[in-house]
Amino acid sequence: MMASKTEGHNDRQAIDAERRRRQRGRNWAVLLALVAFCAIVYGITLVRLTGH
Amino acid sequence: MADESLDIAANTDHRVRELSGAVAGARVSDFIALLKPRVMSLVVFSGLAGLVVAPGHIHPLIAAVAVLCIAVGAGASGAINMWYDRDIDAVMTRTRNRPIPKGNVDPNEALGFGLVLALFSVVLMGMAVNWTAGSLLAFTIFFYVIIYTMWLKRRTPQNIVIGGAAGAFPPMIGWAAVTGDISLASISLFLLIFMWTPPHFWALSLYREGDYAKAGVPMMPVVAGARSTKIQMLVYTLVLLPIALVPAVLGVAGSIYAVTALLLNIGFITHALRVLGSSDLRRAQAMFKYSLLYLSLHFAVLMIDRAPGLLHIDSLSGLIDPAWLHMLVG
Repeated sequence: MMASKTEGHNDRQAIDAERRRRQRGRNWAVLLALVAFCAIVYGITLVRLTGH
Repeated sequence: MADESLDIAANTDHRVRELSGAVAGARVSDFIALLKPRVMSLVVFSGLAGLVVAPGHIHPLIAAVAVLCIAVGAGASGAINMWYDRDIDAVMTRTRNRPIPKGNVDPNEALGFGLVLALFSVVLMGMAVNWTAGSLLAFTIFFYVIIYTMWLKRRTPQNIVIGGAAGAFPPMIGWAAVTGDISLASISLFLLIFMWTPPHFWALSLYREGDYAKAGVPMMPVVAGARSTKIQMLVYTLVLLPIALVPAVLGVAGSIYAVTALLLNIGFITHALRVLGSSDLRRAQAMFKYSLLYLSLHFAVLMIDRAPGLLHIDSLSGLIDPAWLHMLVG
């Protein structure tokens, strides 16, 4: 009884930690995509300004 | 006691890692899997080949953006395809571990992801490169999602024949990125992939026939039988031989390409004959693997054959001094 309670508590904690870890991963991916997009637009603008 | 708590921790860890997206949200890797990276790599490679062999000038950054747009557009098509095919993906052994049937990604989230990427790739291609390439990319995505996935795939055994056009457009897009037009030479590159697709896919479906039958997908071996499929595969490989030589005839490629294409096509025909003459499914598997090598080598040699010409155009001038390159190559 006691063991299964401890296991359930551990499960919840682990699920929360995993959820936060995945959320953080997705946030970083979105940030990287946005930074890359800005860099691309900036680069294209410079190239176009030089007449290409 | 210490051992017991270690066991609980290890079990918890394992179960948590196996959690579905509904409980803990999707991983970044699940979204990457939605883009079908392996399919994307071949699409990018053929698109790059179209870009390299096309006559004309393109800035390296614009070329990189064009390749990126082709990759993202292909990935978007893959994500929308996975959203639509989630019911049959769950039934087939080959696809049941995809993120949606596994429960890692919500179907609507996958659809939204695909649509946003499709729009992004088309608009960026149009604005940064040119609208011929942008329109071709939009048409390719439309063709793959609407014509192939939603209309043909579950209705006709000719699904792969007509739907194969979607996978054949990338070299034309790469070509249009440089020249801004569609020419006979770029159509010849399109035809090469278009005629290669049926024998390539039918080789796969011959040894995965049970999977397709279970999912109710009318692939040729399921509907017409193995013998008829094998005959058609041979016919396609025979027709492919003159088509593969067209780029050399049109002057897009030289003798290195012509000789390699001839040898690769003889190999492909030999594989088709072996498949026809045997009921051993390993022959079909070998042909499928060869078909991947066949297309990759075609485009690789096409680019190598064209490479000396690259030194005469401006595409590398922004990065490397051409005079130095000429000295290096002699």
